[in-house]
Amino acid sequence: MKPKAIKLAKISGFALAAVLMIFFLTQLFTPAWTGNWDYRKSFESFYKLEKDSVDVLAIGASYGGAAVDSYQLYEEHGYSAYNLFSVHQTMVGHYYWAKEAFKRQHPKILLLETSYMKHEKSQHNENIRKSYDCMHWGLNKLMYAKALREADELSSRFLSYLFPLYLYHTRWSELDERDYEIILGDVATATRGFAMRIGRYGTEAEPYAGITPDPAAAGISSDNNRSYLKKIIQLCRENGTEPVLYTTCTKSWSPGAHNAISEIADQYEVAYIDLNDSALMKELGLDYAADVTEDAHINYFGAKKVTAYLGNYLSEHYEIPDLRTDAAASAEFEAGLPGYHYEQEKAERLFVTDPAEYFAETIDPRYVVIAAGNGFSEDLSEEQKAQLRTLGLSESVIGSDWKNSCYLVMTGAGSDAEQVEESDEETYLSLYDTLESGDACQITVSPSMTSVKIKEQEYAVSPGTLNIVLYDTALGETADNIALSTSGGQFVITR
Amino acid sequence: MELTGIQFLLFLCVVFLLYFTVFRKRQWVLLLAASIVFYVFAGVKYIVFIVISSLVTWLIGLKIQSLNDREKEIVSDKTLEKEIIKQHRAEFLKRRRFWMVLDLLINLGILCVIKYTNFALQEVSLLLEHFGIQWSKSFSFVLPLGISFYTFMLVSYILDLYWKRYRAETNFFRMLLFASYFPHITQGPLSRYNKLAPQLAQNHSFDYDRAAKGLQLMLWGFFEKLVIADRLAIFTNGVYSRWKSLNGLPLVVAIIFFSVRLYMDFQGCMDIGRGVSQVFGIELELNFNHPYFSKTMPEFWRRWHITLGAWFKEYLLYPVSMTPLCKNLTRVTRRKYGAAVSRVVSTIIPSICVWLVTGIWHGAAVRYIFWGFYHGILIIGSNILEIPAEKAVAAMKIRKDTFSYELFQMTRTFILSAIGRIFFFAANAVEARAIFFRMFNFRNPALYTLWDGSMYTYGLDQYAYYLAWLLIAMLWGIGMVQERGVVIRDWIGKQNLLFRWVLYLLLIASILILGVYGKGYDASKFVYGAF
Repeated sequence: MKPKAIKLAKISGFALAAVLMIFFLTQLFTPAWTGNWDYRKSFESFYKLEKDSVDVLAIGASYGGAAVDSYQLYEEHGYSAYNLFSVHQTMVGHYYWAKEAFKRQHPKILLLETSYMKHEKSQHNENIRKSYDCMHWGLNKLMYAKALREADELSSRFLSYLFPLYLYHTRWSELDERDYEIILGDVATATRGFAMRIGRYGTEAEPYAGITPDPAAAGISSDNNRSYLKKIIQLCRENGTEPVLYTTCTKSWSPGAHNAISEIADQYEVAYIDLNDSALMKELGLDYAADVTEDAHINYFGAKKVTAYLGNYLSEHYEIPDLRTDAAASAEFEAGLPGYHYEQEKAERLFVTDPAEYFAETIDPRYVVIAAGNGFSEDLSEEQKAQLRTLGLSESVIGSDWKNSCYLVMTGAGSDAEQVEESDEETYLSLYDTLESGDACQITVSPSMTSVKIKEQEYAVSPGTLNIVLYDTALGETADNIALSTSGGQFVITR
Repeated sequence: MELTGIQFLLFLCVVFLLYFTVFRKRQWVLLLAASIVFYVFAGVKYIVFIVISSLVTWLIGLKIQSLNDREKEIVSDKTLEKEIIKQHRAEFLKRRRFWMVLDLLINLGILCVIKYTNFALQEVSLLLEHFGIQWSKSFSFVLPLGISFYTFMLVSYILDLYWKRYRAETNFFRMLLFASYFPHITQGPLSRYNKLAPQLAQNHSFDYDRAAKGLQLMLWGFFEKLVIADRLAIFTNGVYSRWKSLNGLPLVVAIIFFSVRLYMDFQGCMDIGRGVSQVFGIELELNFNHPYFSKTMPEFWRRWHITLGAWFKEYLLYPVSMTPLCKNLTRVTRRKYGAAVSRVVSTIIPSICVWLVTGIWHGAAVRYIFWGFYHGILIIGSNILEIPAEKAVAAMKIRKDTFSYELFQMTRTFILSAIGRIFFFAANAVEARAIFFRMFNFRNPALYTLWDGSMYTYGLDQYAYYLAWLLIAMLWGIGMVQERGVVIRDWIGKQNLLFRWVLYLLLIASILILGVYGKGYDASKFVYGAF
């Protein structure tokens, strides 16, 4: 081989190695975007689905992510669904993610959540990174970056969109197993993109009961949003997918916001379901106080109603395959159902504030139960002691002087520790342990302070009462953490 | 345009490409165009200064050359008597001196006016205030890029012509290129015309090995600047912002970091410039030679900013020491006190001149003058104490040919140079003095800061702080290897391809990950309520 050709080959080879290395580092350093939701896992999980295996695809911002339960659609109608959402994703993001999805999937239906249509200006903020970073590299991603740049707020950070290491390289000292999991391909999620939201808005003097559509109201939306909505509809039609627009209920909705969408829906003959319509809210039985969280997202119980309604609507108006009739096609779903049901149990537990309900059954044996903190302000009744037994606490702990003691107790799933001491100024209980899951646990208790740290994360809710932490050693995550106090012979649960 | 910025990298890609293709037969033209573009990025209006300085120097250089030629013509006339020739020589010397002085006045005058006017006015104002007169005046000058460097280079050119060392440049644009050559305009080295200009004028074909070495050097330069210097800067800036509440160890660590930071900042930019030049086929002079491994202060100044030291030695120290005053002083002290004493005394006045000017050259502030004097005293003291110290060491039977003694010498020299750095660390001389006494506050050395976690509150978290120390240790290790005569780049070049690639990729990865650049990820900005 000629020397010149050898040198050219060396240069090309090194350049290729460098590019691959930079690509790998970009993947490693881009945040896993975990926290309350595993964004990257959810998107990666979607990418790993078999080609053309999704019949109902839901796209939207977090409002949509909380509203459509993919597995519920399977259980009730046999639909293969996936919820592809990202927090604060705008219409621009919805469009580019729809384009991205159509590379490998050609669903019958695209359920598009349209809450973000109501904004008259761009609403891009830092959280748009979650939507952008989770997209695989390709021309579509570059076009997405270009579109984001055209939204003025982000033009100064354009380089970080083309070269994410420019922004994320400083994470070198905070990389942890969540980052490596993504690289190693561990992207399993239990709910096919659906995010179960916990919490309730609560009652108020004038509860929100929806809006009454007013055809005369001027449509409120930006030209950009309108443009992208039309593009999404056209994109769906080009790919043989029928778009179905819907908006989850939120107090900030208005007839004008409704009309901006309905005008386009009518123009393109697309179905539009506005869950803010007061008549529809009544039909669904949507109670804003009970079915919506404090930050205007449909909660776990509200999602059941919304998903049921949407599922019925789709089955009445469209032909969508029922996978339950095909054992091979439904195998993946059947295999995933136990994990999904476990997530449901966890979510339902997090709503429970009635101690009778909370302590109704013995705690799952895979949980480590940590009880740490100070005792109670009154003696416990026999009923309360029976409730504590369901946690697996020993009789010596249950029979102790709850009014005057500090507690550090760990039981279940291979963990066993008991420190109960009379509470005075010098009382100080501490424990460092490694749980069966391999996670480090650090507990400290004094009369004025309680700390329960697992994997450096603090779980103690209240310093002055008894904190209960349920840790799932199989999944390596906390199932619940509450503070227990007493009042009138009954426990009071606080989160 | 920062040497470590994306703009510069893109700029380089374009220049490299054009240099070896479209402009391969007129490379100096491209270099000039690129240098002008680089300069314009710093500010379009400032290019007039470098053009004027270059033009004046070029014209005066031609004038001096014509005088030199005329003189040579006349003195080679064998028909003339010696006395006549001597008269002609004196006449030509006088005329050459006139033009030389004129050039110095113009170039150094521009430099002094722009750089030192406000400083002088400030000192006058302070003096008048002392006498109860309130007066102040200032001008809003902004320093043209590299003015200290290119002015000294042009001055050296004129002086070399005056001393008839080589012929004058006949092409103004080549003169402009010599002054404005972009790899060295920001931080040097101070190149000599006869060493740099021929290389700039020559066309260089693409050489794979040379280009590879140049790119390696650039890569190392980026590492020194982005990973080490800029990281240490975070800590030193953090300590500086709170120095009034600190004593002892944090300040000591900050000065150590500052010393290394300054070196890496300088060396990094220098290596990038040298690396770029090496790709072009141009060798710039080495400006640093592991100065913190010096065993004495004179040695330190032979290793630190080598070209500046050489410039001062050649164009200030020797000329001053050859003045009648210094010559007479040398003669008198030799007669009275002997050769050893006269050797030392003869260096005092020139050294004071050099260090005063060195201090002023570094900045228009009283603290730089103090810094210059500090080092002047160290150099003079080193000369004076050299022989007594040798005798003391011999008397105490201390073995000098041991690592432990060398380590002692290197540590001592580092400490002395680091103390001088306080003048750069502080904003003024008063602060420098206060910081010095706080550093050596033995009643409160703040040793507890080693373990109480406060070291991680000056801008570097725990990991970044220990990384900084690790990098310093790594630098020391590399320096030790090179001090033993190993040329690391040559050693790497001899290794197998896969090993070399892994090393280069690790270096690139280190820069990408550990480099201080970009906006930086701030987790708090990405918190969104429950999601």
